[in-house]
Parts: sequence; structure tokens; C-alpha cells
Amino acid sequence: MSEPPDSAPERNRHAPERWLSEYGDAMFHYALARLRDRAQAEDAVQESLLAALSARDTFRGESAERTWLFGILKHKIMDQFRRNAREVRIEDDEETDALIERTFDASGSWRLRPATWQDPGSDLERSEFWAMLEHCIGGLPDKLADTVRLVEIDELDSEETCKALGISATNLWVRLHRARLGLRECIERSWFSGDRTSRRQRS
Amino acid sequence: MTCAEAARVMSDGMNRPVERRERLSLQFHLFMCRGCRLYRKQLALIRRWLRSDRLAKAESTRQETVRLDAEARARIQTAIYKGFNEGEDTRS
Repeated sequence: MSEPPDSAPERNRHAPERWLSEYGDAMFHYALARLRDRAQAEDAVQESLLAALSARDTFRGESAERTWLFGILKHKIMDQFRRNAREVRIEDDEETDALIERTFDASGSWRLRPATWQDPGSDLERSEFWAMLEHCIGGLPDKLADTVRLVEIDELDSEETCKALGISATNLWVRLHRARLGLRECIERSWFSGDRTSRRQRS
Repeated sequence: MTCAEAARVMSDGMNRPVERRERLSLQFHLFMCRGCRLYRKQLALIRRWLRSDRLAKAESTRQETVRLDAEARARIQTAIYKGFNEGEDTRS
């Protein structure tokens, strides 16, 4: 054993044996939010940790260990998405049609004009705000939630996302558009619907 | 251009370049339509929030709700030990 004994300055040295206890639940949570299948999420965590284990000599320590592990996890989740995307799904379904109809009238105008969202300022420090946002993402139809997580939260590029989800670029833009309409509706209802008199005055 | 179309073009524009003609129609529509101007602001805020570190943090600190169950944990632990030892063997 050529490595020096564990000491404080050596804390950055990899200790694969504590990866699971330190990051296991967070990784599982992250994977489950995206894959929505316990078994698949468990597999993604296991595969990631094993991949990290065999690649730990190449880790340069430029990023935090946690960031590095989550980077690997993202790729494993993408692989799983790819395996799941066997056929291109039909894009129009009742749930999203209803969303469009709720939002715009027959002439394509807003039924209810979007409200002015005051900069939430210190609200952003409140965990309720972020829980609300998570709740709104989770409340989207599954495929819209998947898409928004990959593109906007994980900031994957659109080509990768299309490949992972097995959809065309056109479908991707449609999904993102609908996801945004769904999110704004939910956020507005959940967070900005207090004393909004101007909205009640709409003609 | 209707509000429904404007909303779509604004969304598309966040992830890819849009055609010049669409862009010009959108500009004109935005000039006329307060609702769509407000939506544009909402889109920018939503993007900022979704990309915020704090959303990621909120996601990972609420681990108590979602945990690996004992069986999965044990299975993964075993796989790691196995992988670890195999790695050590090939190293020496």
C-alpha cells in the first residue's frame, strides 16, 4: 500500500467505501425524480458508483467529488432513458390539449392574462419556494417533466435530449413550449395568486 | 400572430434560433400585447429558477423522503466492494 494513511489534508482522496453512505440517497433521489422507477434508479446509482470506482484514477480533483459522481449519474440516467425510449410516443394527448385550451381561447388570445410576477426577492431563500417549484415540475405530464428536467435543469443540449428521449427536434420544441405553459400556470396559481386585483378586472 | 403563436415562438427562441420572419412578427406582437410581454418575463424567471443551484440543493436536501431501501443499499454496497477488490487486485 503506497498511499499515506488518512489525514486531514488527504480528505480529498477518494474513499469509495463511503460514497454510498454519503451520496447514495441523494443520487437515488435525483435518479428517481428522473426515471420514476425505483429499480431503474437503484441500477443507475449502482452503475454510476461502479463506473466511478473504475475511473477514480482519472479523476483530477478539479471538481468536487459530489459533482463528479453526479456527472456520471447523469450519463447513466441518459443511457436508461435511451433504453426506455423504444418508440416515439404520440405527442398530443388529452392532458396537454386541455392545458392549451385552458390557456388560450379559440382566437389564440390569453384567457387569463399572465400576471406580473414581482421578483420574489427574499422568497427565494425560503425552502417553500423551491418545494413549490419542484411540485410544479412534478405535476406536469411525465414526458413534459422529463423534457424540462433534461433541458432546463440538467442543461443537456437538445441533440442529446432528443436521442435520449427518442423524439424529433420538433417534438422537443413542442414539449418545452407546453412544459413552460404548464409551469407558469402552476407557479402563478401556487405562488403569485395572492392579492392580484388586476387579474380579476380582466375584461 | 396570435398570443398562442407568440408564446410558442418565445419558447422556441429560448432553445434555438428562430426564423427571421417569425422573429419580426413576434417583435410586433410584443409591442402590442402586454400579456405576452408579461409571459416573456415569466419565461426568463422560470429559466433562472430552474437553472438555479438552489433548486438542485432543495432537491438533494429533501432526501429523507426518498431513500435507498436497505436491500438495494446492501446490494450496491456488495457490488462496490467487489469492484473495489477486483480493481485492487489488477493494480498490484
